[in-house]
Amino acid sequence: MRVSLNTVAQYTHITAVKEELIDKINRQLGSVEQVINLAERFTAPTIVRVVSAQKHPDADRLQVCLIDDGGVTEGVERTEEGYVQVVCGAPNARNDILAVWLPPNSVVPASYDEDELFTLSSRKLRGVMSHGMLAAADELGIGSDHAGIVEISDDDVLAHDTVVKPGDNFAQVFGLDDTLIDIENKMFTHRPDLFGQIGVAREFAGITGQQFSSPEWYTHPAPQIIEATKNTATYPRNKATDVVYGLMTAEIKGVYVAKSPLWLQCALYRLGAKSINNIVDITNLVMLLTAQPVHAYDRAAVQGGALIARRAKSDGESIELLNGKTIKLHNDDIVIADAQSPISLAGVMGGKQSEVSASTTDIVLEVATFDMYTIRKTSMRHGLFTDAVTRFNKGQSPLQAGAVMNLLVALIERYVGGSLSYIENANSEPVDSKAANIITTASYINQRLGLSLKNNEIQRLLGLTEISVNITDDSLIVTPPFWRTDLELAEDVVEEVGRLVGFDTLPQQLPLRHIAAPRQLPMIGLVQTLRSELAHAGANETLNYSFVHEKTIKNAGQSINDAYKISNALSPELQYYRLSLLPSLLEKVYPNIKAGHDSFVLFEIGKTHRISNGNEKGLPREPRMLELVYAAKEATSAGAAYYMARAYADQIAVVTGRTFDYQAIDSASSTIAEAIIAPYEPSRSAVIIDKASGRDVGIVGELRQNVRNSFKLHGFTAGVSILADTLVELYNPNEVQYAPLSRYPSTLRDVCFAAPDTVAYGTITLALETSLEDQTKDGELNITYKPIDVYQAADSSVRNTTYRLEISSPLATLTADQIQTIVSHIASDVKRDCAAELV
Amino acid sequence: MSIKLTDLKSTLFAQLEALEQPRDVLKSPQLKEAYAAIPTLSPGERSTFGRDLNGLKKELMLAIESRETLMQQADLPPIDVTAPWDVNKSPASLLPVNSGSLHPLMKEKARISDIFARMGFVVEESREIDDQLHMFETLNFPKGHPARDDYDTFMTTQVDANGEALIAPAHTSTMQHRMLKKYKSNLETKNGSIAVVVPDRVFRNEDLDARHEHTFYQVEGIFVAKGVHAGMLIATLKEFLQTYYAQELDVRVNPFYFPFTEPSFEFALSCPFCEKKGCSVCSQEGWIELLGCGMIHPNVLKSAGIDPAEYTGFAFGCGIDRLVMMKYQIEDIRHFHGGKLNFLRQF
Repeated sequence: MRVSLNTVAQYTHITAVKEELIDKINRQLGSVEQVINLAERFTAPTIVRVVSAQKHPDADRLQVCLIDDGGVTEGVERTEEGYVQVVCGAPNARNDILAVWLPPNSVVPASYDEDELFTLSSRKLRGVMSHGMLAAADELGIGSDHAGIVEISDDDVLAHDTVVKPGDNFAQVFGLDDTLIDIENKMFTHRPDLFGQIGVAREFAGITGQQFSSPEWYTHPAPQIIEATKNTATYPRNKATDVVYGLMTAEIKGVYVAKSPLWLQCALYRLGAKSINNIVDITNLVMLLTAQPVHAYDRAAVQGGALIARRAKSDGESIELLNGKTIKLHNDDIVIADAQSPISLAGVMGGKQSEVSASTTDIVLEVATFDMYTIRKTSMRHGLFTDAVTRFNKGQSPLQAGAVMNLLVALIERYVGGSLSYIENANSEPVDSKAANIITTASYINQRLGLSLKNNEIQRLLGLTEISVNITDDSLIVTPPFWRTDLELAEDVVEEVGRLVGFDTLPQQLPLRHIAAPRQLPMIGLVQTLRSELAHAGANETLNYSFVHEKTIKNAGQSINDAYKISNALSPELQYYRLSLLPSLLEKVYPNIKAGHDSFVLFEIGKTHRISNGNEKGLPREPRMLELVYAAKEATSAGAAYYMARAYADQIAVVTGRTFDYQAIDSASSTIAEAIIAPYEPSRSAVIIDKASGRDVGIVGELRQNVRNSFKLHGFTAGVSILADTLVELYNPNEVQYAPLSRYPSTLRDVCFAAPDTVAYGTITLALETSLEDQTKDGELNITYKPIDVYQAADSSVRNTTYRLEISSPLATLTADQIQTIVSHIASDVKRDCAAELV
Repeated sequence: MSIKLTDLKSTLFAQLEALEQPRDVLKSPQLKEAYAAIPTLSPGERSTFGRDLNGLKKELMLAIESRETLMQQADLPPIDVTAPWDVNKSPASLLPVNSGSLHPLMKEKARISDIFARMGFVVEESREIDDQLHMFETLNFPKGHPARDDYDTFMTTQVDANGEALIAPAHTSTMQHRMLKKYKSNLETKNGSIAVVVPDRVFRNEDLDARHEHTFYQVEGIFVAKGVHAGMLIATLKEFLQTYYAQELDVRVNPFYFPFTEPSFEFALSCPFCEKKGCSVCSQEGWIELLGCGMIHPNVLKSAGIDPAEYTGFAFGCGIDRLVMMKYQIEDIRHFHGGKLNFLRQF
């Protein structure tokens, strides 16, 4: 929202110095985005009279002018008469006009918007000395006209009693000695009144502790003249009363459409609007002052003469808009129509056909109020975002229509001419959208602000911005003024009081609480543990987007049908929710290999989404996964990449106090979702099973060949996918399996089993474990084991697997014979179960 | 004529065999060199050499394709997945501890959670797919309200039970209604207050550039009890930030608008990096606008079954990415999800 301090100053005193005021606006009204010191740009331009203009001796298009600046400019070369010579290329430079002169050494105002400032000088043009320049509108920055220099007539000045004379400062006469402040619009989402300069002036008064009084014409408008009657053809009709809260029209005949007077051009320029012609400019000025959008139609284009508010017809009406585009209307769109067809898209943009142009002689004016939601929908539907939409979709009060119409008609009559035929109102009764009184108390307000204001202090504060408060014995009755359609609840009053007091001055006080410790959610605790343990194990935590490209899903061998699809993604990269984390991790492997990293582990903990998971409490389940990828340029000591990934899975087991088993995928009746398994090569992957509970915890393995090709993966790449939700259910940080320490020494014994290489390590190990369990079940022995070697000669089909046994007894030191018996026992058990021979 | 095509051929085919990506052989410096040599030859030599070289390249292309096909089909032999390591190999050793790293965003999220936990807040998680009821309706955004325009929300083609598109939450406030309901019983029991933070991932439909991400992190905070006032909100956030930056700070609130708080504020702190003198972090302002907050709107409390006449509360939402970027002077927000080890290993 662009605010002009000079405009605001017409409605309230600006007492604070500028910096203080801006600080106050920030703290008590809304964030200031930009402050433009307009005055600085316009210190030099001076009003001058052209006393002579003669053709340049050596140039056809140039004139040599003598100008009278009233002698105010110092340090410039003058003729005997005291005039200054300026060479000018404008065809309209001529004797006796008032123009705007930019003296030498001054900066061209328009160049403040360019990359570099342009400073004028005194120099010869085709051999004739020229001091500074006479300015066109585009050089001043106030318009785009470059056809001629700016001419100032008596009509160009707002106050008719002011006589403009040579030497007057241009900025002072036209209000360009201004400061412009841009306040963030977002702050005003609920404040329809603050999209007008008058509304802002009211708040400036309030936050600087001054009493504001709205202009009399705004709060107490003269009754509208109604000359026509309901029976006349021109009587406006509201055929959509559910979304059109007021429709007032007026007709003015005999207008003369022309360029706006300079004061109006400058006023619009300060408020960030472009000058078009005198009528359009006045409608814009009225909107910028009051926040009420209004529209002028060329009467000749209004068939029948009456404006009709209605919804667009469902048979596909269309309209050509002011921006030249023709849109097909939706039957929820509100239009203003004449007897035949829509002539404007109500509250959004006028129609091209009824545009006020140079040939317009009679106009119809519209001041209407539309439902904010309908306007917003229409605006979104057609992608039209205009100043009118910005204002209407905040909910303008229908109660200001009469005052705004009076102002509009008065300004047009005064500055454009013409005579009013009628003002009419389609709603016989104005819609009573005036907010109801709010009943509250000082203590309710004080409690929410931490203050102890008295009734009359609250009354005084709110009164500054014309919110009246009635103090009764036990309550405050707050009456919102009609323009404050946002004030509904006691909390809204709390906000107003807090803001006027200044939120920064509220007593800062920490809330007190009981010392009960906040509970930690198990998942959050486990995730923290896993993250830091994996980082300690040399892995790198990554974050990847929750959304992936269709081809990422397909390349991983997953089904696109299982993925939630984004309907409004800006890019195909973000089209689908990912089914598992692994594909995103795989995408990060190749770039890192390329960047020169030899071996690394990337991991991520995050949520996944699969349609096949179904819903819980009406929303998609969001299973959490811990997934990692190991990648290296060369094999490690453990051989295939699978074993490296498995080592990380084992690490996860260790830090969560679990033990994992690994079973071939095809031999396990896996409960793990197809999408998670899909990228893994079955012959080189395993299902991870929690040993104690037998539950499936995830997958570890290498990737399918086509997955490797699609993601440009190196030979030594493997992944781990852990169902984090299962892990959290299994995780019990208080569960530690402790065995009392033996008082007797233990014996280490390596045992080596030879078996055909078709017998899996797991089969031999299971046989070994079964035997150990059997031998230790009476509690007289403790035996633990760990694998230490797996060997197979190149030309042999026999594989030797060596375990190291640690044997002890809680009862006595074991003798060599006892150990030998134990080992023999184990050997025969294992041979019986899996045909592996002790070597 | 220094380049012999027969030599070049054997070099290139050897490279082809060794490469993981056969197509990369086309980027071979020797091949480029050969093409670069063409203009230096005499016109007579040029045509012959060029023709032969193109012939070689065709041959190479065929070889690439056949090797690619072979690689597609090549099945690695099965391995014993029950074994702890490969045959004739030794136990795997994990990567060295100094190559590991935690993601800076997650690190900071943990730190923020820890500070709030010490202040008595429960830490909860958000969702990545939610419904419009939680993202908007229960937060006092009526259907079609212009305030929704400020949230460029991703929607799914799939719909909820009411036929409305599911959404990727644009703020962690999407959890507010659930948290109020979940911890409502605290108000009458031991705590007398609802105190929750939700630091998690959120989404906005924005184009990516160095300062804008469609995926980022926010910490939502909620505190409800009897007698909570706006001064407490300011004091609580100030306490958090002073703990986070381990220094005394000034704070400032600007009035703002959110549908789910009334009054609403934009909260700024004095720049912790320059003591308000102005620096690159704070764009020479001395102040950093950090978060949005306010007193929870009575309609939001009511929709969770909490009587707004009896209880009041505050809520805030603070971007985590911004805190991390300022802290480490990270120049490009896209690094966070870029997965580059050169970035990750610095933390």
